[in-house]
Amino acid sequence: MSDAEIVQLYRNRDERAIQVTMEQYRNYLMKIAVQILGDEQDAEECVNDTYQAAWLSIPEQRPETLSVYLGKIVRQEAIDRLRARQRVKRQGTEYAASLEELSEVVAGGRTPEQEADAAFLKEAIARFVKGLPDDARNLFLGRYFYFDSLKETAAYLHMSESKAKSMLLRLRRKLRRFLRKEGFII
Amino acid sequence: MREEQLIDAIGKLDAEMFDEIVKLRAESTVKTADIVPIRTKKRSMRRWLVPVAACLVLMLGGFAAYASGALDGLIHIGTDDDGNKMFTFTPPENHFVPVSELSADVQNMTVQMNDRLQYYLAGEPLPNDEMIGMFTVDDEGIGPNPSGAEILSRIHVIGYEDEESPNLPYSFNVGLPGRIYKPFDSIAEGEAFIGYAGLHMPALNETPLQIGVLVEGVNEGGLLNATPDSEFEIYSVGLYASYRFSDYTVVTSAQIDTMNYDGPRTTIISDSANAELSSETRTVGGREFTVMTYQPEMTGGYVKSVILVENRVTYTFKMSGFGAAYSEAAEQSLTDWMNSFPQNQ
Repeated sequence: MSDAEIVQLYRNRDERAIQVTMEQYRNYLMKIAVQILGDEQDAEECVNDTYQAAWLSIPEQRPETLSVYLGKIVRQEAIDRLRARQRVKRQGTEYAASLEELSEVVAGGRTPEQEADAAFLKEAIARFVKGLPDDARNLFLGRYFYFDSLKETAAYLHMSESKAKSMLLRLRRKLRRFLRKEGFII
Repeated sequence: MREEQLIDAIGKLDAEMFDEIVKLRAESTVKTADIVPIRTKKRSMRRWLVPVAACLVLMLGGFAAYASGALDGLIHIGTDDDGNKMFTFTPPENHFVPVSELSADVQNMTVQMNDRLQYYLAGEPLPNDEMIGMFTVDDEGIGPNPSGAEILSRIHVIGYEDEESPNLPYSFNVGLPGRIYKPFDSIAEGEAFIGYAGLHMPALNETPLQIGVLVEGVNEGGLLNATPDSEFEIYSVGLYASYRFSDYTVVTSAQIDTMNYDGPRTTIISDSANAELSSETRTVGGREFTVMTYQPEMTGGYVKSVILVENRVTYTFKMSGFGAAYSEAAEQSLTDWMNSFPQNQ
């Protein structure tokens, strides 16, 4: 069934929407959740919450790409769940590895503006990612949106792991420079 | 800013950016492996905290990466894969000063670092952190643990009033448990605080805008693996003084490394593939100074960076003249600094 047809099921409040979503997207959602949470049971709960969130939100929203829409929900659910758990127990997952990589980008310090600047940051990140060449953008999203491992990301981008690794390093540097120029990092 | 904020912002990107990667992932034949715990590598705070000894490109946002390869001296100049210029500083043998040779004040900073760690782990603002350097905070009448909004209302920016005037090429946004900056009123006070007999930092013939000591430490496993009991080890202590002249700024520093934290340190000058870079060795008063000069693409003007390593201290002099030509006064500041080292040291 196509995404548009599935979305229409949601909009029609047809309960088959959830069944079809489970059949087509469960593995995809589980993978994202497991890569963040590192635990299949937690991930399962998270994915179930995602189905519910989708059921509640899709009639209003009109997602163009269902996989991305659902991916965002499960990603945030998993991250929120992880943060609600003890802070230091993130280790051992691709999420933790990605987080550590991104820590190179930020100064880690507190700026007075950061409380209110989530919207500005979102807009700035969007500009940054949009301005990247295709390969670089896909690599960035693969690692820092989907938390795919370096090995897997390199494989579906048809590049060597070492190339992916050095490209990611350059991207992080570039992001740091970009954020400094935008005033986010002092 | 914390890395989680970046993660959140990435999560809100528009769907149109995902068109290609959605297809690539769907076509991928790589199976998802069973989840195996990943050993996150020991977090190297040095990787994004610009090493002071090679702090040559702060204005351009460069930061340390990794050693470049074969080295033929203390400072090796090369290029990275993108063609950007880079310098690799290799600490000489016996370069590291044990913490035990520094003052008790410095050694005791590990206790402060652990205290700050408790706030960090609790997600609370670190006590007494200031944004120093590019900004200053009017703290008259300010209470303890001020809110972000209050700090914001009190921020005074140095150097931004005049757009043509270069701002300070240095900032200390501490904000991390293992990073503590202490301001001082004089270089002598800073030297006394560090307590290392071999450290004598020359002063320029100008009142400094800012003087301070930055002490940096790290806990085993890095902050991601920190627990309330984590202990810190100090790896770097640096004394800094920054000056502002009419058409250039200068930051001088004297840095002590207490351990070989991450080997040779490379600083990459961002976006410098087309920048002109020259280097020379100048002998003054029997000492050999490495002098590097380049023209930043983004800001124009020039940056001149000078390094001297002596008695296990790395002295640096960084001059930035944005949009300006290198003047006689600037050259005089440099030669004054080079001539100001103690005789027969």
